[in-house]
Amino acid sequence: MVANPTNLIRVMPAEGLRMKNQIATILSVATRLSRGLLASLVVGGALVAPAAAQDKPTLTVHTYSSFVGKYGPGKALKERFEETCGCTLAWLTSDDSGGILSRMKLDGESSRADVVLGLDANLAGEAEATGLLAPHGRSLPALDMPVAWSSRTFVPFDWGYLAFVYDETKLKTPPQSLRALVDDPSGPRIIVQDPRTSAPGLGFLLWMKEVYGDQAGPAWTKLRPRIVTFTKGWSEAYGLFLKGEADMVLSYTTSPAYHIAAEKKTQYKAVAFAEGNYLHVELAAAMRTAKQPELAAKFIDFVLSERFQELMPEGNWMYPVKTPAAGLPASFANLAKPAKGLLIDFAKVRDGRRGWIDEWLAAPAR
Amino acid sequence: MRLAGLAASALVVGVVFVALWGLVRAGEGIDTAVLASPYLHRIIRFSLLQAGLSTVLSLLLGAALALALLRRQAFPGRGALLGLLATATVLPAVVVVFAVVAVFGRSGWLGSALAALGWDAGSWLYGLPGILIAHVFLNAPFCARVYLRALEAQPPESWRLAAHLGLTPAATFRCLDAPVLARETPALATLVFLLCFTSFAVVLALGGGPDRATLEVAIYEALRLDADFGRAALLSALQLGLGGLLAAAFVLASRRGGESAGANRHALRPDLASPALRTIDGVVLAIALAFLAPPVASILAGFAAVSSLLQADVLRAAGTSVAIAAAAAVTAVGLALALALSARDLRTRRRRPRAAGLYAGIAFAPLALPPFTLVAGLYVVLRGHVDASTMGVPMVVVVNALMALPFAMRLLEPPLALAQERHGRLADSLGIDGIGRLRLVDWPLLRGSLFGALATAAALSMGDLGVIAFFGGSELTTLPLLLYQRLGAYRMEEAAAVAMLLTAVVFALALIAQTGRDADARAA
Repeated sequence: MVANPTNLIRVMPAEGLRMKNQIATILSVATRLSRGLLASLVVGGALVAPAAAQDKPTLTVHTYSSFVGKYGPGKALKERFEETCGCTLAWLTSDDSGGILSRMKLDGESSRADVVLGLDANLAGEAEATGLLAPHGRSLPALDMPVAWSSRTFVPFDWGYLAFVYDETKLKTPPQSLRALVDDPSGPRIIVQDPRTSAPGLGFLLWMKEVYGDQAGPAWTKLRPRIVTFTKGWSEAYGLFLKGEADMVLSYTTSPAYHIAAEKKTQYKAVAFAEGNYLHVELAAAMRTAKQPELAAKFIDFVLSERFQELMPEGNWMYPVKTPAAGLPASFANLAKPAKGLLIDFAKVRDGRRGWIDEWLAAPAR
Repeated sequence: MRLAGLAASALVVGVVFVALWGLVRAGEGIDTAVLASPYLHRIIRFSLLQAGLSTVLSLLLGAALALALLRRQAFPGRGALLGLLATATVLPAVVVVFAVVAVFGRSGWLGSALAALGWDAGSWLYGLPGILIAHVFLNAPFCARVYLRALEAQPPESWRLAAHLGLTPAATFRCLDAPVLARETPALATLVFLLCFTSFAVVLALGGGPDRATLEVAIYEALRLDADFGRAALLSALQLGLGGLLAAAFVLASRRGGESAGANRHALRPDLASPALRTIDGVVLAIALAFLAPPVASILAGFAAVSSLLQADVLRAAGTSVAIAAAAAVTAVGLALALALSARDLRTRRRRPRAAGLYAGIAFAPLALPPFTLVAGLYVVLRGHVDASTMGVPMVVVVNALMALPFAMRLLEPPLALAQERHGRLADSLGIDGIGRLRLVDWPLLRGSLFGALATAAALSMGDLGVIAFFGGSELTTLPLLLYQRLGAYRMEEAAAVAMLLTAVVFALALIAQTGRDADARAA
């Protein structure tokens, strides 16, 4: 699973121990176990009918699991949306953006989801090509993003810059551009994620492509001796970096904000590269097969509203697409500000990705 | 017995084929051109190399450790070492990566010690060394346990005879120990090889380069990034085929049977007093301890955030993990018993060793298929018939059980063979069969290993991430999933605490099983 660091976090008070709850949960798991085992044995037979009758309609939102985890913004968003929609919001979760795409395609026309929330822009081409998504059908307001947004299907809900993060007590002079990082044979050693398995890993591959174009292959060869390893997901990479296995790690410009806000540590910094930093953009879209199309449309409006957007900075450690009236939180004040945000059009990514990954695979390691 | 065996193997084979078929059906056709890609051939070659080396090293260390533990029945910390052996095998990949790096990494204990001596070893770990260290750490302990149990079943009569004949330690090893090790090795080698051949997060994190990958990586990519289910199914079938070839080789190489009677390990071996052997055993135990203990000990660093474990979601996840693990363990052991008993029946009473080997080989199939292929394929097929929200728990249980099945088989087959050797003919002549035979003849010898198999299967399920990642979410969360959510939320210390809890539970399970087994041995 590619854990997404961006999918985060509001510090909540510890909820304490609720024994009754525990027992009830274990019992319900046991009941579900026996019920489910039975059900799976009698495939095709008459089955357990779930859930009681409801008077309110249910909107099902398909997202990644850490978005609704303890430190994610999901719980607060659900409460806020339910206050006004006259409905119940149910979550359907996959482990990450790749999981959402895969599950969407496995479910096809019969998906329970009305809305998908959390597809990564680099997979948007594949997601759109499934034909399972509906156009959002509105003219979007001006968004606070470094690039213009013109998709008729996807509405972005937050974004961030990919960036190399370092510990300034250990690395005094980080490279100030991607070319400086690639060209300096005695430069810092880095950990990145594998583009075959991870969203930021794929983002870095596209970043190299955007900056180096046809010369991306040779650039990979130059950089390779200083790449300690390519990890399966963001978590392994960031964990290895914090353990001191490399000088820099591929993460986001917003990562230092977490260390400032939650740990009061200021030594972690991100670098804004002279060429610009590649963008990570997270998207919402309504399903064409939605059973609650009106509610789905309402939710897309909600995504762009202040009440949703103000939870993104310290709930998901990403920039909102509409800056809240009160501005960004203090922890975001001194973050690295790249001069430019880079993003390759997602249709182009869809067509080019296979070839670019092959180019990376074929780049000889010296 | 035959019916149970047939049913169990039908379930295993059925699940595997239904999963593949489901993916093919969900896909938009299969393009076999991918099979000719040089990239694929490179990663298969590298996988064969690393898995082969990992297997040989794991078996060697496991055998050496088992012999040392067999000869030294009483030294301080023996019980803890046995617990350690049961723990290392089942930790989630990300925990193993962090543990290995905490000890062997650039800023780990070893790296820091070297740096203090003025030597910067750099990132030597990333590449084949790191992969091998992690794989031997994961697998050598399990090999040691299987070998040890088999060796402990040697009859005291042989030892008395060996003492009588004045066999040297080398001759004792050749005549008594080597045949037992040789008998267990094919199946064990198959298991370890498959685990390393399909290893994923460990190989990527410690491999250091794009070619240090496995087929599993390519399958994951096809399933998730491309959502190309046809290709995912094709590559999965390729992996299954390669695994199948290996299992077939095992069937041919395997010569089970011929166990001698006796299961009393209190008799004295003739080679215990040999000073040379004492030294060797001491060195082996020291090496094993030095290699296995520090990574596990590094997990104790999670104690720093132990208070974070007293949160509702941690306790809920722990409860869920335990419930799922218990169900998966019972299912796995039930399936393993059915397969092992049928295999034994075929081998000894019907004289059909190939058919018996087939049953044993079938148990490996779930390991040759990536867990995410299994669940995605099954999901597609069951989705139309079962409500998706009730499917999660039973699917996790069944798939976890299937993945634990080969481990349970390895622990249950030797005592069953022994019971047959000891009492088989008598039971046959008395006409004791079916359940009665299991209860009267097999149970006394089986009981101890049954505890171990249950504990191992439960522990494997406790550590599972591949299956729960598909079905889990806000409503269904286990400890490994929670650990990953914590990591993804920058909460490294809380994640470390969850890893510690997970390790502690598994360690406790191992100790309980060991105690049960010891009590059993004393009673016998």
